[in-house]
Amino acid sequence: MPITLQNVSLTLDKLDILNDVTATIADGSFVSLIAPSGAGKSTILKLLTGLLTPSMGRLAVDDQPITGLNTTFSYLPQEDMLFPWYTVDQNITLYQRINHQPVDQERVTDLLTLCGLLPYRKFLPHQLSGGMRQRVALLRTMLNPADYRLLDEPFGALDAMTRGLMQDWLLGLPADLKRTTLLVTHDIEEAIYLSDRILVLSARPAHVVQDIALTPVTRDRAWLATQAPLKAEIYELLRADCLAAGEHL
Amino acid sequence: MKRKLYPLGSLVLLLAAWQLAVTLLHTPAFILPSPVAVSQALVADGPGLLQNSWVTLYESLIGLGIACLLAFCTALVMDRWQLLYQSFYPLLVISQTLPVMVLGPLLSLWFGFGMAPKIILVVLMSYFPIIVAFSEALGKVSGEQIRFLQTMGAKSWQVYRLLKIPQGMQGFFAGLRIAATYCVSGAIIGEWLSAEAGLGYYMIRVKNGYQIDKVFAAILCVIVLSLGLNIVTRIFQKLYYKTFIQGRLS
Repeated sequence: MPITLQNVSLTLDKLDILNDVTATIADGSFVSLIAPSGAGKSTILKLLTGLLTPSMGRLAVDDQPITGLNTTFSYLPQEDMLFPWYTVDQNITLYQRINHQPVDQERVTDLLTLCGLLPYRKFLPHQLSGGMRQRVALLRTMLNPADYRLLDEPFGALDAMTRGLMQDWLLGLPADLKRTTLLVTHDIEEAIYLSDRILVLSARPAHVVQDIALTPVTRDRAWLATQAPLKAEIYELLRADCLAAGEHL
Repeated sequence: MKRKLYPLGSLVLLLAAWQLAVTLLHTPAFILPSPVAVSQALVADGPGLLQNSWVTLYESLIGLGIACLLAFCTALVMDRWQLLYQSFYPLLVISQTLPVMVLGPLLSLWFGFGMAPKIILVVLMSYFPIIVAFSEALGKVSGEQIRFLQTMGAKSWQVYRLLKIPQGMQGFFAGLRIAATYCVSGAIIGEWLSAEAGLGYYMIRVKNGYQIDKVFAAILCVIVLSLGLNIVTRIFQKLYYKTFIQGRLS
């Protein structure tokens, strides 16, 4: 059940944000969107969730067009969106409570253990560190049974060390927790480390300038270290595009 | 601990200065009684003060309860239907400039000399701070958070139950803390105008007899009641989040 974006354009307040974006995200794949800052990466996720409507083009999941606000995706916005008055337990099971679905306590306990959050399950978000909050937000996204995940710079606010640990954690998730994922990031290394495919977008109005497939035998930090040429290539691509658009890196 | 001792120390100093001034200047007791005289009056007329305090507290609590319920419901209705909000909220803000006590004589005329006009006065004095604070807190809930809940399938009532009310209640309790202080004053003003019991009635009675030490003793009771209600409100706020919000979902 692929996600398809067909000639999607968006103009907001006379500003062209997206211009003829076309992409297909295959079922089960992990795809990263990378682009210069302010190019409209997050806008694509908002279009998919129905928070925005395209000016032109078509978005679809399994050939079913996306119209308006929908619950097809498990969405993690830039901010962790944890509700400060709910405990970790309550925050991560928000989807189940909204949809009156039973909470599998055993599974929740397993996941909390996996994320190193078990001792903190009764804690409130303000009692947690930035990395822990982000793990809670990710866990909430994981417990949403939707087949597709949209992650909008989930580690953007974290320090380098915590971000690395979070990336390892995401990569090491058990198979039953993996889903078709579209990750928005400004971190080239993160995109290379986590993705099966990287879509490089141009500066605003954004369109896909390069589609890079990654098929490592073993995905680990040692492999990542060998990807310096690819990192430099993507960087140059973004830099050239920014300069052409009159911006400076 | 130190932070609590500082104001206590200042209070003791002020009382000592007051006592000293009254003693040295030989101020007549019917103008300004000394703190010692006030505390003697408090002990001597303790049962009477307690009885009248209870009446004032009863009127205040009933009025505050009604105001809370009214403010909670009207703020939610106005938030849900923005046309109502746009139509009535500016009037509510403007109405806050009206000193509610001027309505006292009218309320006595319309509702008699019983407890009703005092309770209505308390309701009027308490309702506005609560509804204004609650409405503003509801309005400040971020649209992004609402839409985030909607992407998980939340219906309108669930957005209120899970997000808007818990967040808005911070404003509600902020308004309630102000109202808890005002409500005792509301009851006292009502009792000044027409009453047969209560601290307001007691104050008028002892003032007419030039027993100013007892007036001060009554003022002390008013302070204790207001402070007590304020503390109770803070306890309620903590209990609300701990038991009602977190308890309900666990």
